[in-house]
This record gives sequence, structure tokens and C-alpha cells, in this order.
Amino acid sequence: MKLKLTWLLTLFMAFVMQFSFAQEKTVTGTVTTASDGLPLPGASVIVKGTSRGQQTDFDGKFTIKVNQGDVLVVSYVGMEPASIIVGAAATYDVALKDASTLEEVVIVGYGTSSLAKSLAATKTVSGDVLEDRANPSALQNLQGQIAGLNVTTGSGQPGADSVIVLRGVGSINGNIEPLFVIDGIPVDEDNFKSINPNDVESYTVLKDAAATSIYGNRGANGVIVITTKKGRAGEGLKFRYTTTYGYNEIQAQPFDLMSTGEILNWQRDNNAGLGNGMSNAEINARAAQANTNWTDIFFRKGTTTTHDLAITSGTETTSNYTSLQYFEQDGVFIGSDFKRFSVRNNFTGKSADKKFDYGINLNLNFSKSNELDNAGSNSTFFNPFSAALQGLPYLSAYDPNGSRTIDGGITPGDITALLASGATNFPYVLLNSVSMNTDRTEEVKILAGFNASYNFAKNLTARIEFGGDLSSSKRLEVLHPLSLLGPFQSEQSNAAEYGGIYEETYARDFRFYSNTSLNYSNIFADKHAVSLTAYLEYNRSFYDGFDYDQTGLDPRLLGTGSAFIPANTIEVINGADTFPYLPALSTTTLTTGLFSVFANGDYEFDGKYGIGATVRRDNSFRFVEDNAWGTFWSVSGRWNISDENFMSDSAFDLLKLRGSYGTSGNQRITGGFYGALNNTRSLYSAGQGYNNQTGTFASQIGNTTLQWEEVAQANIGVDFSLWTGKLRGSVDVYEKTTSQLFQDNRISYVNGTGSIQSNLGTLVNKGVELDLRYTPIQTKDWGLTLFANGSFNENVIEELPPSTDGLVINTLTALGEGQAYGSYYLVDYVGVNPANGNPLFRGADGNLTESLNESDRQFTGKSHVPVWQGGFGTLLKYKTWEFNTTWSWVADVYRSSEDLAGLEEVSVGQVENGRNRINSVFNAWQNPGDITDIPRVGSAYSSVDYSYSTDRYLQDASFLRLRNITLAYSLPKETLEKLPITGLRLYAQGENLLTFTKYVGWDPESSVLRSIDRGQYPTPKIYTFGVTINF
Amino acid sequence: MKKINLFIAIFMAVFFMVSCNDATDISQVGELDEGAAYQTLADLSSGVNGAYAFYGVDSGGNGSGDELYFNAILTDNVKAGVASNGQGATQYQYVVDITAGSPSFSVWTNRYSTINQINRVLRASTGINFESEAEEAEGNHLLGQLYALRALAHLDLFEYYTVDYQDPQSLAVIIMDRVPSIDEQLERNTVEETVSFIMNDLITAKDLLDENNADSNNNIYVNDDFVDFLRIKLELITDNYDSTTIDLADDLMAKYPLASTVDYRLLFLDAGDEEVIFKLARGTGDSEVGELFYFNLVDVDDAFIEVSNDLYNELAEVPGDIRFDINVDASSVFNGENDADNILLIGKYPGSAAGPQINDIKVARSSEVLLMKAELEARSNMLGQAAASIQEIRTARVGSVQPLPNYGNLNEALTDILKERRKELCFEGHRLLDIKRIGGELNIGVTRSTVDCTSFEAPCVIPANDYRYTLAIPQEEFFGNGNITQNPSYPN
Repeated sequence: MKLKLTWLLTLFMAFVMQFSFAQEKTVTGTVTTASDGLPLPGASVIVKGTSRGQQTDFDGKFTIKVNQGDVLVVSYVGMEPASIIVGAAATYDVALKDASTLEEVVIVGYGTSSLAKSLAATKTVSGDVLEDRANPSALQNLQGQIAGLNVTTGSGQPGADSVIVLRGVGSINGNIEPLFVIDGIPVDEDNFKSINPNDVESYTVLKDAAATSIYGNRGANGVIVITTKKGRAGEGLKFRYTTTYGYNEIQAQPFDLMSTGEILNWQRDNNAGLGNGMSNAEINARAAQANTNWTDIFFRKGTTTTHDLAITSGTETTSNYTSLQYFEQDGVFIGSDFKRFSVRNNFTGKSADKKFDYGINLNLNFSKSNELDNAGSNSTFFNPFSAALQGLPYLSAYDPNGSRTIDGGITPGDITALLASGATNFPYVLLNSVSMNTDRTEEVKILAGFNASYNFAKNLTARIEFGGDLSSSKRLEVLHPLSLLGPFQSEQSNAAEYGGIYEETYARDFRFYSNTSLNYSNIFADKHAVSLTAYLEYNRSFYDGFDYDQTGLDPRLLGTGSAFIPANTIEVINGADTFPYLPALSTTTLTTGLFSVFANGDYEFDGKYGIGATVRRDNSFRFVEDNAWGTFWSVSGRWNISDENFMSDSAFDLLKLRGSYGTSGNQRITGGFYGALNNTRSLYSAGQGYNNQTGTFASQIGNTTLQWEEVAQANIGVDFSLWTGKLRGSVDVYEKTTSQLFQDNRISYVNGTGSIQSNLGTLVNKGVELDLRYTPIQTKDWGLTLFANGSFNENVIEELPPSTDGLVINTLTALGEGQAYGSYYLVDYVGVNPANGNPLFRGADGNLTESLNESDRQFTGKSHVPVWQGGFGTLLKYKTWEFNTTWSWVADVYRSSEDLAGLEEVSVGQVENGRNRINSVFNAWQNPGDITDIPRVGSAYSSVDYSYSTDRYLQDASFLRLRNITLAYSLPKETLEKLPITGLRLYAQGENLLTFTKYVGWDPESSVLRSIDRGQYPTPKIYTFGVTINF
Repeated sequence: MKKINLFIAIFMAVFFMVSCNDATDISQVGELDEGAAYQTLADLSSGVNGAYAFYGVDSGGNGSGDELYFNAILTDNVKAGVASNGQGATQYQYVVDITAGSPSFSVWTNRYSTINQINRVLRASTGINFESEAEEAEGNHLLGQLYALRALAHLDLFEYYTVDYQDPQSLAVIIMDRVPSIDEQLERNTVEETVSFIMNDLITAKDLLDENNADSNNNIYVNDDFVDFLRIKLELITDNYDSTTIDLADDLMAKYPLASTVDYRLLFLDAGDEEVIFKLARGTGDSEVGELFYFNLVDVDDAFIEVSNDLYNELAEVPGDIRFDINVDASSVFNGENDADNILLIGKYPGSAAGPQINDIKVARSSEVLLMKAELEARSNMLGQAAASIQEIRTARVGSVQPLPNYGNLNEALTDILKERRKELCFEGHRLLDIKRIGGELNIGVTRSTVDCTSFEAPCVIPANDYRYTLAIPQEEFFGNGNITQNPSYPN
């Protein structure tokens, strides 16, 4: 009916024209972009006041019938619209400028706003900025990009998960990471390795209550909203292909390790080890035979290869984005690598009248990584990183025939060879394990989302959205039966005939989300803009997993079930019948749910003043009775001072003052997504009990009063832009209080346990954030932009459970009222007593003592969570050349370096502990009166005592790092015209090329939650070269 | 547009149908409450099994542990091992540590966890309906075991945390005869109250235990004889014995004669059960007692704690004493008397069919009954009988008749008994208690040979009656209990 009417109308108009006096004519033109002069396909050209119009073609051209005096409006998403008055000429070329920054789209929770109108403290980083980076994980690239956002990656394994903390650690036992939302769908924050960073259009960090309260029980730690790329309506078919190739290697390490000659001399001096009793000639002979740097053996130069193809297209009512990626990167440590294949398709469509639109995002990824277990472990034969650092140089890395060894000539199962001389041979064991064993994870990850909205009545729009995040992973760990440790794996250790372990772990995690909303928006009297939205939301998630662990493998059949020695195999050992090959089996099924209703409203007066309010009610399955429903709310307001008349002559394009206050919750009280699933109930369990029979015992004492942790946050901020955007930025101050902290409340051990978890305690994060961007030069040929961000966050634990007396002691740190989270609580190491070479510690009473007492531990005022952090960089452009740098830094952050402590081990009986030293131990105390910082060889305390109980190895882990440097060249327009392509860009980039730090350890960057570094996988330097072709 | 309206309508309808309560009323698969956990006799049996499983005198490893471990590390029975990275150094040095992981924490938490499990099963047992008399008898036998184990756990606590076993009004430990509520903060009961509680549990256990039950003949479960064993021990240490106590000991000795030297070896290989009244079964997957002293196995490169030279010399005193062979592994490296390079491997836990580090834990052996009997005799002014008892055990261990000792007075007898207890019961969780109780009376403390104490840079002498022989109430208990009193000289 409606279509028919339109047709009739057109006919009628055609007749009307016949009587018009105006002269109708056909005009043509080309629409280009002002910045690079390239044609702009898909721009819309409309005759003002009519519905007549069309879109520019592939070459940016249009042809339209107009009357002289008509006004043509030319527009394009993200560009400033232009108007042309049709005169006598027949050709009109239009160059569109990039939209003013003030109109820039700003993503806020469940919707969008603009920089000028947004009420919230948010910050967006465009995906383009990070596109050249060589990290498989999108999140690693965010380090140093956003004020207040701490991104740390405690491992150099390609694709390793990063810990993300916004505005300070807000929980002690609960989740501390933000909620991640990709294209509207909440996703697993710990799994980004499978996602292609090049699909990302933008990352937006929602910081204050105005933006996060709408996420209710999941918004306490902030929200990171990621949008992926889309095609543009009316755009022609475009291809973009990028390939990169590069190298990665270990960063410079600060240890002055001993050579063969040095360590043998040191052993001789101290009457133990291989060097004990050796003559100079013998030492020299040995040094000539072998002087192995085990770091060189275990680390390597790896490669990175990527191929990316993106295809975009669009018609008047649809748009499509399709991308394919293959990514492959070796770890810098042997045996580790990462491969990913990903496909994404984002489609949008709308009805001809544009009242109904819908979209679908579909993303499939497959990744495969080979990893190394036991980083950080104290297990000599299992931590490969410690072997790489501490292996003795006099062990040869070569077999007698001259080839690189993988077993040091040791026979599998030879206990004496493994344990002799303080397990000296452990680097061979690790080399052997890395070479022969398997630790591989394969993952399929699917993100899928659908949304549709319908403007079904004037001012009313209904919207639905649903989607899912499915991760399905399989981990295979094989300890090879013929490896050096293979024979020890069965219950009967090496007495059994078969060795090895084969373990497979399957896990499937599906998270479903749906949201239905109704929006009313209207403008009254041109000045009063109102928007109200009500939402209904439903979240469920399902985790299924199983695992088996088979010991006893026939090496000939490894890789298949036929290799498994049957569980009922009986072997006679020490005269007794035994079953050495019993497998271990387990299965897990978990589920969570959340049902919510919420609403928000915005009111704006004259564009200058705006207020907003949000209220959300969340019903979490985790809590019962009075706590089943949680209510969260916020209020916010802004004043665009620059829009006031008295500011009309100022340099400010934008000066906006905004403030917000509100609450949000943290329902993940034990941290994990699938944690605290039934803590309100007392439960029993059955398991292996006495005499290998089943026992039934209490497994949990329920606490029905549990609730979410509650965060109340106040934020005041200013957004500004001066001199037509030359200088832009924002400043925010905030105070974020977490109350109802989920903590152990201590109870008497007569309950069979000493604690029950309850909601008790408060902590506060207060801080300032500054974000600046300055473009002093912007000419046709030259462009220079400087950007910087920085934040200060003070964290204070205000209240701990009363039963703790304000002090909860952990391994190196303690929680203390008035102290920051992560504060080290250690004995003050003073130095070495010149009289006897023993270490001196300061007792709690202030007096010096030679004995290390737990009761002398004190707060040091130092924490492993940084107080200051930020990033800065430059973007320099000359013609089609670009040169960009990005730096990141953290300050006032500390960590204990057990790696260093181990290299200075001088305690009693440890000279021959099978590990190398650094040259500083030659300075150990020897004679009364010696002033030195290394205690007497043979003194009482070990490196573990020093690094875990004292501040001797507690180091300043502040650093400044050149996170990225990129040089790029694009073919100029003139050259391109002769080629069958529309763009060609060549670039070279480097990650982590320079680091300035005082920290003595492999890598000053470590997980923000790590208090001590021992044998961790350091992050690498990565260089890549890339080519991008557009056609 | 109608098709769009229809689409929206269908979607909304589906959405509301699925979204009522299924997102909020969620319990996980396999949640089990108390009523569902214990419904039948078999459930009760698995609850009792859980109580046994909790009791962990042998738990620990890598430098911490329960009584088997700290009765070694805190005394003169061990030195640092060849593979030591400092495991146990601070304990050996007698640095006061009452935090989580310390000996005082281990015993306190393990025994009260065991007691909590026992009390939970006792509470649940009242709701179980037995279907026949046979079932009821079986049920009673299970309950009897619970009472005996509750007495055992309380007796352990009593021995470690009570300063003076014989002062009725001084503080002992918290008596826990029920499942407490989580806000209870209790002061320790007196010695008198605790002893009488333990005695009552022993009497109740004796009533309920059925000596004809099949499990009564399986020494991995407690039976009437073990209840008698506990009774002898309790009466001896609280100075509450009479001639009937000695009679009880005689009865036990008649039933459980001392093992021959051949059987003695089999006993520690878990290949024989001579003289064992009660032992904790340890099988595949259970805690590995060898881990208290070794990383992986009994080997000259793998021990972080070894037999002290002092104990070695004492065990070597009498040629042919089987206890030397049992306690010092044959692969030890002996360079010379008190040589600092001696590698003296603890041999008492050589591993068993269940695994190289796994052995059953012998809780009550008749040799201990005989040693207690000797002490009872000595204290009852029967020095001759005491000497005969000691001679009996020595003869059994050497395999040939040993000379009859001659005790001129009680102290001489006790000194000899203390020495014999060391040889017989080393690494079985007795030495610290012996030095505390008998040593305190004789003014004998921990006295280590120089070669041993320097292996850990530790003090060689800890005087008799040192306050540290009585364990501290662990710091962790104070966090949750504002009413409890610490033992003298310890911080709280």
C-alpha cells in the first residue's frame, strides 16, 4: 500500500514539474576526501528539502537532476557534511572534511553518544592505531594507551593472557578485571588470544559510574567495550590485504653470569662442587671444553608470519565486512608457539524507510598453541626458565659427536645421574622435556551476535540483541615415556615397566546473552531533548569439561589410545602385586545465570546542559533471600561551558565539566566466572577416603548472608578541545570505594576450618587521570601529533574483618588497614655483619639481629601494584611517510626478584646446589672487617628465605619501555594512478625495543598480581615488516 | 512492515518464555546436603571412613608437617640432608613460628578437623534407621570407632598443647563434643575436664565396639585393644595408673607378642603385621610419608633430612640390633664416626607395594605397650620388673638374649627407658613428647652432636623443660577465637 502511494506521489510530482518555471538540468560531480583527495564512494548526495538523492559510485562520481538554486547536501559517515548551491555550472566537485572531533561517536553502556554530549568518563582508542602491532592478543596492545588502565602480561608465551586493572585493584578476593563486551555481547575476559586484533574498530574503556552502573552486578571494575569493523552502506567492493613477516627474541638480561672458569674457581674457593680440589690447569681445560650459556640454548630467535584479508562492500541498505586471518608466531623460548586462523563476517541491513535495521556478527576462530608448563615453579626438574638462567656453564650442550644434545648422555630413569651433585644435570632434563614432551592447547572460539531495532512509532524504538561466546578447548599434555623423567611417572615410579603420562583436558564454555529494550526519545520546543530506555536482560552460561590422565604408555604407539597400558595390568614389584597404571578421570559441569531489569534516562537542555540517571536491578543466582536482588544506580550531569555566550570568543571548541556518582557491584566474589556457585549452602562431598575407599565428608559451610561487593564511585572530569582540536584532552578525578569486600572471616578451628568467607571490609581507590593530545603541525605535507596519558592511583585498605585485627599475612605481602593492596610485609634486611659475615636484620623492636624471625616482618610501604602509570608517543607524518612511537611506563611499583636471589645463593651446604652464580658472589664476606653486601658462604639463610621473608631482593620494578616504533611509507596518489591498485603501504615496526629500569630480573614487566619473579617467561622483542595492499 | 511486527512479536514471546526463573534458581549438579549425605548404614560407614582419612599424623613434606615430621626435626634424631635446600632449617633452629604451616598449626587444625568430621557423622547418625539388628550392631561398631578416634584426637591435642599433664586445674585443650556454630569462641578446658572427657569417650567406645566384628581383626581399624592402648597411655601420662593399668598392658602383650627380627623387618615393609595394634593404611594416592624426608625416593642424592650422627651412634651401640638396619637405610654412606660428610638415610619408610614413598603409619605397636609397661613398673617402684621389660624388648630386637639392666633408682630406670624409646620409636612421632615428659623429669633436653647441629647452623642444646616443647596455640586460632589463652612464653 505504502509503496503504491509513493509511486503515485512521484507520478503526481512529475506532472507538477511540467508547470514549473524553473529550469531543470543535470549536474555531475566527484566527491573526494579532503585529507588525501581520494574519491569517496557511497557518499550520499541529496537535494535539500526533498527525498531525491543518490549515492556516489565507485569513483566518487554522481549525476543528478536539479533545478538551479537547489541545495545539494553531500554527507558521509564520520565526515562533516557539505552543502552546494547549484548555480550555472554543470560540474560540482566536493571535498569532504573529517568530522569535527566534537561529533565523534562516543560509546557508552548500551548505546552511543558524542564527545560533546557524553556524560561519562570514557576513553576510546581506535583499532587503526594498534593495527600494525605484532602481538597475537589485542589486549596487550592497550598498555600505555588509556589513562588509568593497567595492562600487564606476565608471560612471553605468544597469546598469553593479560591482567587488566582499571583505576586500581578494587577487590581482594573477587574479580578485579573489567567486564569485556564485544559488539554488545559480554565475553570471557581471559581469552583474547583467539580474536583477531585487526578486526577491532575501537576499544572504549568505561570508567565512572555514569557509564558502568548500567552494567550493575558486573560493572564494579569498569567495562571495556570493543566494536568490530563494519562495511559502509553504498560502498563499493574493496579488498585490503596485509602480510607481515618478522623476528622476535629475548630482551637484554641484566645478569653477570659466571663462566666455567669463574664458577669452578668459586667452587674451589669454597671447597665444594666440581671445582673443589681442581688445579688451575684442570679448570682451564674444563673451561676450554665447555662454557655453555644456557640462556642461548633455551632461547631462540623466532619468527612471526601473518596474512590478513578484509573485504568490505555495501549497497544502499546493506553493508558487509568479511575478514580472514592467519597468524603464526614462535615463542622466543624453544618449544613454544602460537597459530591462529580466524574468520569474521559483520553484516547490517535495513528497510528502505530505514526504520528497521538489523545486524549479525559472526566470528570463528581456531588457535593452536604449544606452551611450557611450570613457569614460576620451584620444581627443579620442571621449570624450564630456571634452567635457562641457572644451568651451570661447565655442562656441555653438545653430544660427543658434536651435535646439540637433548639428554646430556643421561639414560632415562637413572636416578643417580639426575640427583647427583645437587641435581647439576637439571638443564639436560629440562632440555629433554622441552624437546620430547607435548603441551598443546587447541581452541575453537565462536562469537556470534544478532541485533535488530525497529522505530515502530514516532519517537519509539524497540531493540533486541542476543548472542553467544563459545570457547571449546582441548589441552594435550604428554610426558614422553622415553624422556629422562618418563620412567618415574607411574604410581610405582621407575620400578614399573612403562612410564610417561598422557593427559587430555576438554572444556567447553558457552555464555548466552539476550537483551530487549524500548527507547523513547524526543525533542520538545527545540531545546529539551529527552531519551528514556528500559531494558530486560538475561544471561546464562554453561561450562562442561572432562579430563583424563593416563600413566603407563607404550612408546611405540604414542598418540593413540593403543599406547595406554591397561589399568588392570598387574606387575609384581618388591614381591607384591601392584596396579601401576591406574588412570585419573574427572568431569565438571557448571552453570551460572543472571536476570536483570534496568532503565536509564537522559535529559538535555539547549545542548549545553545534560543530566542522566540509571537504575538497574540484578537477580544473581549466587545470592539468596534478601540479597537475591541487588540495586545499582547512578546520576550524572554535564555543563558545556564552551557553549555559553561568554565563551564565544575563547579558544575553546569544547570545555565541558561533568560529574557522576553511582554504584555498581561485583558478583564474582571469588574471582572466577564460575566461582562461588553455591557458597550460600552447606555441602557434603565424597571422595577418596581412607584405605582407598570412598569417604563422605563436609566440603563447605554455607553462608546465607553473602552478597555482591559494592562499589560506589564519584567522578569529576573536564573534557576540552582548543584551537579547532589542536589540543584536546580530559582530566578526571575519582574516588572509588569498594565495600562488602568478600574476605575470610576467621573462626575457631573447632569448626574444622579457620575461616568462612563473608562480606566484610572496605577499600578505596582515589586517583587522577590526564589525557592529552596535541597537534602542533598539520600542513599538507607535514603532520605531528604528540600524545600522553598518565594516572595516579592511591589504594588504601580501610577495613578488614574484625577477626583479623587489621592484618592478614600472606606469603610476601600482607593486607593491613591503612596499607595499599599488595603491600610487602617483610623483615628489613640491613646488610652483612662485618664481624662474622652473617646477615643482619632489623627486629620489630628496632634492634639488629642475626636471626630471621617471622615476627619481625613489617610493612614496607611498597606494593606490587603501581601507583603511577601511563604512556606517551609521537605521530610524525611527512607526505606519505609515517613515523610513530609509543612508550609506556609505570612507577612506584616493586617486586621481589628470586631469580637474582638464586644467583647469589651462599647459604650453608648450597655451594654445590647444581646452579650457576653471578660474579657478585665473589664479594661474599671472608674475613672479619670485610664490608660487603653478600653474606658469608655457609651462612644460615637461603635465597628463598631472603626473597620470601626479607626485603633484600625487593626491587624497584618501575620501567619506561619503548612499546612500539613504526616507520611506514604509502605509495603516493600519483604513482597509484598508474597501478591497478588503490593503495600500497609498507611498514616496519618493533615492539619492546628499549627498556629503562633498575629492576634486576629477566623482565620488569610482570603480572600486576605477582609479588615475586622466579623462572618466568620473559616478554620478547618483536620486529616485523609488513605490506598492505588496497584494491 | 507487518512481517517485521510479526518477527518482533515472535521474538518477544520466545524471550519471555525462557527468561523467568531459570537464570536465577540455579543449583549445581551434584550438590549434597547433610541429610542426603548420610541416609544408610553404608553412608555412615563412608562417614567413618572420612574420619580416618582426616587423621593425618604423617601429613606434610618439603619442610613442614605433622607429628611424624616435627618429632624428628625439633629433636636430636635428624640432621640436614645432602639434598637440603633449607627444608626445616628454621624449625631445627628452634625459631618460634606459630603461623600457618608451623607444627603447632598442623596438629591443632588436623585434630580439630578430624573431630569435626566425627561429630558431624555422630550427629547425622541419629537420623539413620537401621533395618535389622545386624545392621544396628554394625552401626554401633562404627559409632564405637568414632568415639575411639575422637578420644585419640583429643589425646594428641592434650599431649602437645598441655604444659603439665598432671595439674588438674591448668589449661589443656578445647573439648569438642558436638558440631559447633561458627561464632563460638571457646577457652581451653582444664586438664581434669579434658582427661575425664577422653576417658568417657574411651568407655563409650568400648561399650559400642564389637570384638566379633570383622573389622576388629583388621588392624587398620581401631578396636577394643586400641582403646585399651589409649587408656594405658592416658593413665600413664596423667599419673593416674594402678595395677590394673599394668594388667591391661600384660593382656595386650599376650595378644600382640613382639615381632621377631625377621617379622620386624616385614612390619616396616608393610608385608607383615606382627605386634601392630593399630596402623593407618596408606595406599596408592594417599599421603606419602617418605616425602617428609626425601624429594622422590630413598637415595643418597635425594634426602633433605637424614638420621643424625647422634642417633646413628646410639643405634649402632649394640651389634645386631635390627633397629639399626631398619632406621638407617643400607645405601647410606658412612665415612667415620661423626664425620660431617656422612650421608645417613632414614630407612624406616622404604616404600611399599603402594609406591616408593608410601608406607602404613604404625600408631600403636606392642613394643610401645611394653615400654609403657616398663615405665609403669618403674614408677610403681618395681625396678626389677621394669628392667625385665626392657631386657625383653632388647632381646627381641637383637634376636639373642640381652643382659638384664640394673636400675638403682627411678631416674636410672627412666633414663634407660627414654633411651630405649628413642631407639624403638624414632621417626614415629614420639621423641619430642618423650623429651618433654620424661626428659623434663630427668632434666634432659634436646642435645645434638656438634656435627649434627652445624648441618643447619642451629643451636646444639635446647635445655630441658624449654617452653617450646609444648606447642603454642597457633596464631590462626587467635584470629577466630578471642577467648583462648596462649601457652606461657609464646606470643599471641
